[in-house]
This record gives sequence, C-alpha cells and structure tokens, in this order.
Amino acid sequence: VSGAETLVSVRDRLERRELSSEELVRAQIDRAEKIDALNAFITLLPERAIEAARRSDEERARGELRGPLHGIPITVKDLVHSRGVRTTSGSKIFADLVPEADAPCLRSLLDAGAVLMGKTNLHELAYGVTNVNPHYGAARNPWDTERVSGGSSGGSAASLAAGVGFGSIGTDTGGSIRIPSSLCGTVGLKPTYGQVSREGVTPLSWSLDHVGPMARTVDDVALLYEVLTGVAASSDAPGPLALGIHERYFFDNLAPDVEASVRTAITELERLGMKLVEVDIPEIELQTTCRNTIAFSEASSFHEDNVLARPEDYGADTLELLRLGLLIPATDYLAATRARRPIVRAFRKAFQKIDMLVTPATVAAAPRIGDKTLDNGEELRSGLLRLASPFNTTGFPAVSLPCGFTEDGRPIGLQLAAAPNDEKRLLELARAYEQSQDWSRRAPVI
Amino acid sequence: MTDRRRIELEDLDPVDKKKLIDRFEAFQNGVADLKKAAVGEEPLFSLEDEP
Repeated sequence: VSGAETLVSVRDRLERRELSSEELVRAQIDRAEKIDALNAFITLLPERAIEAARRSDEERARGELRGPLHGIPITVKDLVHSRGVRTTSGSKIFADLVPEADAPCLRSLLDAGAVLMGKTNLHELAYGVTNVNPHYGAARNPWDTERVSGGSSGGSAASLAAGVGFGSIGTDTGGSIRIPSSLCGTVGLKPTYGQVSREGVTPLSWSLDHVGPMARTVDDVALLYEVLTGVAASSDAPGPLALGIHERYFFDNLAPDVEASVRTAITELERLGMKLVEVDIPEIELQTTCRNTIAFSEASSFHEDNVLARPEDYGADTLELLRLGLLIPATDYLAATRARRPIVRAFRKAFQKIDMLVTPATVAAAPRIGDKTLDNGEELRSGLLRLASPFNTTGFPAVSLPCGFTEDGRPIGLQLAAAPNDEKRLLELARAYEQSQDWSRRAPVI
Repeated sequence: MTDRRRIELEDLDPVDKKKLIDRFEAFQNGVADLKKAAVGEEPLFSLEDEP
C-alpha cells in the first residue's frame, strides 16, 4: 500500500477484496515504524489493530459490514479518550490516564468499522501551534523534518502526510486542525461549533473547542464527517457561489509565496464559475483579544488546581499561558463573551452577501523547530493563529486544503469558511478546487 | 491584578514573574476595546446560545 492511497481508495480496494484489512493494517504499522523519527505518535497499537483487522476480515467474509470505514486503519489525537488505551493529552498531567470509555466521536468511527491504529502526538494539552512537545518530543514535518508539523493536532497531520492512517480526529480551539493541515499539506475541517460532540475529549477552552476530521483529501474528510455527523458526503459540483475576499486582515503581511499561491487559487476558483465579492468586517480587529481572553480564562479554569499544585509538570510555554489566564479578572472574561456577540453578528451579516470566505490558512509555511518568528516576520504563535482563529470565535465552519508549495518545497494551505451548518457546500467547493489541481496527490519523500 | 493573584505570584522566580506581568500588561492593552464593544450586549458563550 503506497503513501498515496486514500481512505476512499482503500475502502474500494477492500470492497473488491484486492486486499484484506489485516494486510492493510500490517502495512500501515510497518510504515508507522519507518516514520518513527517524525514522532507523530504517542501510542501505536499494533497488536490491538491487527486483531481488530482480523475480526473485520472475518466479518466481511460473513457479509457483515459495520459501516463505510470497515477494516480501515485510522488514528486519533491523543486527547480523544479511548477505552483501555492511555490518553495523555500530550501532557505529564494526564500521563497515566486510561479512560474507561471511548469518546463518542471515536466510538462513531469504530462503530462504522474503523480500526484504531494509534494515538497521535499533539502540542501539550492542545495549548500551542508548533507541536514541539516537552514530554513526548516534537512531531516533525514530513516535508522537512527540521520544521514543525504545526499544532496542536500536529501528529495527526504529520502521520497523514507521511501516508500513515487514512483519517484522523483532531481538535481546533484557534486553528489546531487547520494550522497543521496547512503546514503538512493535508486537509482538515473544523465543523460548526457543537456539530461533533466534545464529550470525552480533554478540553482546552470549552466555548472555542471544536472536534473535526483530518485526512489526505477532501473526499476522505467528507466521508469521516459523514460518519461523525450523519451529513451525507456529496460529490455534486458547487453551484456558482459568491466568494468573499477580505483583503484587510486576511491578506495583510503574508509571506510572498503564500500570497502568490492563494491568489492563484482564487483565480482558479473564479475559473470554476465562482463570483468574487469584496467584504470587510470591521469587528475582525476585536476578535484576537476576544478569543485570547476567553481561551486563556477557560483553559486556566480547567487547569487551575494542577497549575497551583504541580507547576513543574507543565512545559514552560504552557505554564506561562496558564498562569497568564489565572490573572484575568472575571469581568474581562465576561466582557469578552459580551463582545463576542457583535463579532458573530457582523460575520452573519457579511455572510448574507457571500456564500464562502476564501483566505490563506496560515500567513506563512512551516517554520523551523525553535524559530520564534515566521517567514513574514510575524511572531510565531500569534501569526499562525491569526487567520484561523476568527472561525473559533464565531464557531463558523472552515476547512484547510493544500494550494501550493514554497520554492523550498513546504506546503501552503488555502482556507475556505462558510456560514454555520453549511459544511456540505463548503466541502463541495473544497472538492471542486482540489480536483482541479494535483496538490493533494503529492507526497513527501520519506 | 487582584491581591490574591499578586500573592500567588510572589512564589515565582523573579525573572518569570516579570516576564509574566509584562505579558499580562501587554495583553490587557486590547481589553479596553473589548469593553467598549461589550456595551449593551449580553454574553454569548457559543453559537448554541444564539436565539
């Protein structure tokens, strides 16, 4: 099985009995071991996965198919609770946590027949954008192993880009599905807030956390999304949609190669029949402080006891953010929740005249491990969050998909965002763009 | 910053403490605008709270 296989392609091959689930899982475990240096996994589950694959093959032989993921190996970010399997949340704090139940999002995939082959690395407690993890090591970018995979769902994106696992579940509080997808050249969907259950997923910030699918192609993400939510994947061509271009903020100070690739992608979308509409949402300027105030306060509320009792068990960057959150007064937190309302209202108003918003997913491609700034000179953390986080503040759905490469071969991500619960059309548009290009078919040399 | 938090910060290494306070104060710069935007609004914790 080559790295270029997709979830949909292996599903079809399994259906045609061209390979067994056991063969597929064994090949994937071998491949996971070969990419060990990427540090994409915190826990690999070879015996459990092979046993599950054997059961899948026996069931298939009896004509008993569980669902559309029958016998297909997948991964989940290691903050998604998995019954009987350690779930560290990338931390020392939860290093020994062995949940008694699967999170409902994981249960949905398992009920559809998926085989869990491993738990992926993440930024400590999902609280960061690099996935340089002080306890489990940095999840490295398969396109250039001296560079970050992005975070916080970096292990999921890195393993997918390296051809390991045919889908994954990530979480996104300020961009943690879309940022690593952008930096690793994979596809990640942050659905509308609340669409996928957060139960059994270690929280970072309850009112900003989103759970969503990650994979190598839009069709694969759509299939996972269908399993997670029941919204049927569509292969329809998108109608002529009005695409919003928000020059200010979303196109400010981009790395030149990112800007060039995204503008070329926009031209391609126009060629596909989409109409471009300029939009401007003045309230966008407020959203960074709004999101940060909420995220810092909620994260520190969740971790308060441990921050005070076990500060030495946190990494330095996480501890500093958690201490910062403890300093925020309740009145500021409530001001942020109140300011959130006009921000959402302004986005809703903008989406009355557009169907989708098109932006870069990140302002620059992957930085080197240890870098403090990005290619465009922007501070790393705030720079990587800038374009993704508005859709956490608002809860609107957004997807990142590849739209090019830098001269030195690093992936560049395009972000498409929609109004709440418009994921079907969002994925149709993403699919149409993807199929007009070959970006998603490229794979890093491992 | 509340007195309680100041007391908790007393235990920190002086360098860490200064860095944290500087970061907090820089962060606070944007809060005044938030407060202006909050006037007349009720809290919105998530899309699920919208009418």
